[in-house]
Amino acid sequence: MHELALMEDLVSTVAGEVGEARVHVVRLEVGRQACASPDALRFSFEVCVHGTALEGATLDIVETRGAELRLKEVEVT
Amino acid sequence: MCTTCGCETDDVHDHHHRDHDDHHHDQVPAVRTLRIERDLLAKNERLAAVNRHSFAARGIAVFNLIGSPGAGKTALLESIIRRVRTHVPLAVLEGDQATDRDAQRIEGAGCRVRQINTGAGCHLDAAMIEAGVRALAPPRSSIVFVENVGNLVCPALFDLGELAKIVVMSVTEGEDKPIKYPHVFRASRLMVLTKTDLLPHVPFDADRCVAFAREVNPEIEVIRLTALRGEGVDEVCGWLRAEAARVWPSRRAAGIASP
Repeated sequence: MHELALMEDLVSTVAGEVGEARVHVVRLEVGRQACASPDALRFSFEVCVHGTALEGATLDIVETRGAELRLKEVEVT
Repeated sequence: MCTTCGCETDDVHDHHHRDHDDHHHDQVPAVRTLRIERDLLAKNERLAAVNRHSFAARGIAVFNLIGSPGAGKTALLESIIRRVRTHVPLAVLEGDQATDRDAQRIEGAGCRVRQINTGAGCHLDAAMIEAGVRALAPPRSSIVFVENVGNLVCPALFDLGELAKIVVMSVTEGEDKPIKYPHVFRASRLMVLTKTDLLPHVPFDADRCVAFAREVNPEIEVIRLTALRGEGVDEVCGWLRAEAARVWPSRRAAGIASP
């Protein structure tokens, strides 16, 4: 479950980037060679956002062919 | 034509309701997209880079041992410790989900050790290694072994700032493990094939296993080992010394390499 550790870091990174804004979508690029499972990332994301500024946000995973594991962008209001 | 509002222009333009700011209805605030573009492992990789620099500056050679539970990582460490502890200062960071049983074994072999229990965690990360090495306070020209949590998947992803990763697998596992779990074999510089004394009793083709490992990592070096009988231990120690010489002050490395 290293996906959980990745999502914990992601939540604190995003919270630091967006300030007061409300986060609706977090978009990741996850490569098929990246050693992280999109399903496990989604599950861990739900666990990690609970009780944070990101609660209610959707995780949008764009699957790619390479080994990318990147936070691309967030949609906020 | 703009596909959002149907106007004539092809240029990208926003569709905020700026034209009627004077009448406030309960409009949903416009969604903005913030580009961030950050590697998810960035935090760990930053810490790992700091570790690597700091270990090299202090002349500490750190090796990260990765393998399935039961591959023989602790037995390998015990035999290395018995062989070189009188020549080289050694210390071990033991990663397990629970208990300090492995730390007790390492201590029993005569080596400084610190146990890290990860609880639910499946791997060690760079921050744990920084704290562990700080607590062990190894001297210059020493070796620190990190025995990672028994797992072929997650530890491959987390750089600890080590000098080299070493993958440990035994002949009682499937010989196709290198192609089934390619990440860790690709990331490792050395594969230690353990329990080779069992080869006559198990349907394991060692040459085929090595071929699979080189299929995912053509550069990987391989040493066959029987920890119980001590075969291959000298070869592993020689490999470790040659690698450690890259960060040890040169006089010490020369002294160790030619006993």
